[in-house]
Amino acid sequence: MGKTTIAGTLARALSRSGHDVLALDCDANPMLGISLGLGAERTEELVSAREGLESGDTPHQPTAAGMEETFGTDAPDGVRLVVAARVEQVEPGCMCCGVSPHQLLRDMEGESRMVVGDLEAGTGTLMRMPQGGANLALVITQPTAKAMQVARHALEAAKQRAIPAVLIANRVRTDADVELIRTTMGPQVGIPMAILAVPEDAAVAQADQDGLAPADVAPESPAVLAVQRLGQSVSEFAGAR
Amino acid sequence: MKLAVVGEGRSETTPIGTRGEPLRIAVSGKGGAGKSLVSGILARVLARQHRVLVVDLDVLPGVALSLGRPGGSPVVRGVAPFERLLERLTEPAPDGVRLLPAATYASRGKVGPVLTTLAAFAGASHRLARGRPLARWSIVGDLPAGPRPTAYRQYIAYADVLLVIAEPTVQSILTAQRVLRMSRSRPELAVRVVANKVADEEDAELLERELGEPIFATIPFDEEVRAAERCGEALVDRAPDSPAVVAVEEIVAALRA
Ligand SMILES: Nc1ncnc2c1ncn2[C@@H]1O[C@H](COP(=O)(O)OP(=O)(O)OP(=O)(O)O)[C@@H](O)[C@H]1O
Ligand SMILES: Nc1ncnc2c1ncn2[C@@H]1O[C@H](COP(=O)(O)OP(=O)(O)O)[C@@H](O)[C@H]1O
Ligand SMILES: [Mg+2]
Ligand SMILES: [Mg+2]
Repeated sequence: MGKTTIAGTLARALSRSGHDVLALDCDANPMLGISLGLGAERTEELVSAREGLESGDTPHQPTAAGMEETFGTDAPDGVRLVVAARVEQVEPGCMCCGVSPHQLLRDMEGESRMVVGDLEAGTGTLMRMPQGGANLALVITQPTAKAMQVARHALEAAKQRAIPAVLIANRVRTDADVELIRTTMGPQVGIPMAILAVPEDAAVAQADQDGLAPADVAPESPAVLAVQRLGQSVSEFAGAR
Repeated sequence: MKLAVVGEGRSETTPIGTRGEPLRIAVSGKGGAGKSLVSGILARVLARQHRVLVVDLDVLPGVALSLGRPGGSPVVRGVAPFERLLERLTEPAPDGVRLLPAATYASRGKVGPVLTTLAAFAGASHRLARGRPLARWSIVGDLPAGPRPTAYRQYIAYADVLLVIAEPTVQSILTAQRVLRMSRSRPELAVRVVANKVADEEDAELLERELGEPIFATIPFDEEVRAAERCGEALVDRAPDSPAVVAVEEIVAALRA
């Protein structure tokens, strides 16, 4: 779909335009560090620390600060990355593991930074969110049957929870691709505030293959520029609230 | 059936099953790596010899599409209580394959009056796989993306072999490494890395080098995959001689070689 690619690129764009950004990796297979440009080695260090909760090698972090310290790092452009992947060996009530991504987002109510969460594929996390559980949902889709099916459900889930949604039509090659997505989403589901297209981009695919951030190796590529424009919209949306 | 063992003294040539014996396979890897595609083709290829149960453990749409729509093929025959149960819980797919949408059931919080949770199903399927009712069935499990401790401990308890599908990209390689790390908690599970969407020899070599694991099989990038998806047909039906199908046929043969 491009969730991680877009989340990483967006977090950096927001940070560069002056926001304090916390990038929260909530995927069971955390990869946000790669798209942020942190590199495979540092990303794996954070993931190993997280895995250590399961094996007992990493001590639990009952405070938000401890959690951010142990599972987090500074990433390029001043983004703060925290790996918050779901853990199975939880200690009840513990901040670092006992919370699921949706609780984590809720607990961040007083958070002054802009939080960009890379959620697990599908609608699971969104479905567990309470009313207004996030300020904005970016629903990423592609012009394929599977991707559009998931996006329809995600838009519906966002609507039910009164979470404003923007639909990102990723990897589109032609206007017909965007049109297909627009018509497939149809009026029967929660209508997104906007549909934003991110083009299929060979430079992004190459960056991904090499494990590098699109923002570093292809800052002027069409897809990165599109995500930057998305960043401006998000910024305006946040300002208007 | 001989089991290949991961770890010390493992032999890559140890057969998982001999010809004629059912295979118990689980398929893992990064999102988009090709798990569902491979699972679907595997099931259809195995169905030429056995009854096949596909366990869909991923909530995302996938293996149902690569299996194809059911035709006029026979559904579960027989009247044994287990087969009636199986017929009730599973959906028909072509060639008599039965599809258990386990993840969908689990996300709705019920599997029915008998099997109330996915974990319960997993435990039951494990016992059943070893017992009479499923003894002659091959089983293919399409796992959710990435390393999933519960899945490895419970949901694929039935499996003899784990296929890790990897693309020649950094994230796919990292995912394969994470999955390999986790699979060590089940040393009796044979693990085989399958390189998918491979363009050339260099791609496969890169994967092997980065993973530090031998590549068991290679599936080339196949244009027919997208074409089949676009018209909503299974690749095995639309292009039975396409490179990806042939490669999966070779995987089945190699697992038994
Ligand atoms: N606009 C684009 N142009 C070209 N390739 C893209 C684009 N967006 C994403 N991709 C490619 O699509 C693939 C999947 O992207 P990504 O890993 O970001 O998806 P995801 O939704 O986070 O996947 P997962 O479900 O595994 O978390 C990657 O190979 C990435 O390079
Ligand atoms: N060998 C291949 N050649 C070409 N495209 C492929 C191949 N394997 C998978 N794909 C493409 O990759 C996408 C993801 O495959 P899928 O089986 O759904 O992955 P997963 O189940 O691992 O998420 C599919 O849309 C398919 O078009
Ligand atoms: Mg991702
Ligand atoms: Mg799948």
